[in-house]
Amino acid sequence: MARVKRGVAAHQRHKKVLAQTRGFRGSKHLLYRRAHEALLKAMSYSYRHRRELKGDVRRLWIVRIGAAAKEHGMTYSTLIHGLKVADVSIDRKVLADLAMNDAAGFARLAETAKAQLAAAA
Amino acid sequence: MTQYAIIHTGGKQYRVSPGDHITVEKLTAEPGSTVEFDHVLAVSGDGGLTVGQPTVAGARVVAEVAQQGKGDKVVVFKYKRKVRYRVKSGHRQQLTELAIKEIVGGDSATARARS
Repeated sequence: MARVKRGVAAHQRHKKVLAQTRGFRGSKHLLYRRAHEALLKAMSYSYRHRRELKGDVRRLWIVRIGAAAKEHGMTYSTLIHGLKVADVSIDRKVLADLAMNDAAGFARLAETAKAQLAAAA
Repeated sequence: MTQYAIIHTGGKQYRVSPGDHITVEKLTAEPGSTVEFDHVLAVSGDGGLTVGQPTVAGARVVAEVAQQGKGDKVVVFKYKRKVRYRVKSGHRQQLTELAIKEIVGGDSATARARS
């Protein structure tokens, strides 16, 4: 049987890694070893950051809702509490969207929350 | 502002207007068939926003299934140094693309998609 040399497979393996590290800084896109190390990190960070992204955008929504709530003389926490006791289950993503794009609609929500809090007090 | 409704599907909420195309988590339905959402959290029309507590009674959103598909491939890679732990796999989320046809009910008049 013909002799199988390992260089061919190794070369293919290296090509695959270097193709994925195009645009990396310094030697990380040139040298297989540095590229491979960088790729392990890069892929695990992107896994982790996909999860962190959910919290990051939620924080942004909360800032936007808080700013809009202040225009109606409420804080973020009283607005959210008011909506909760009013049984309004619109989430923060949509609330932030309305705060930016539909001020009149957001005002209705703020009124609903305020009325409910006044009734409970 | 144009008419819109807020619907809840696949654990997420969407603001939809007639004529919109939205991508949601997979719904079991054939492409071309219609799906209805009766869990409408709010409707906005000529009379302003109607807030549901928690839903707007009688309001529905009718949508047509435009396409069943998958999202872009995501590489799941977990790695722990020094313990030789490595897991690599791919994932493509199953998604449904919807074309919003009309919003029925609420206090505002029925609006249809201009087609």
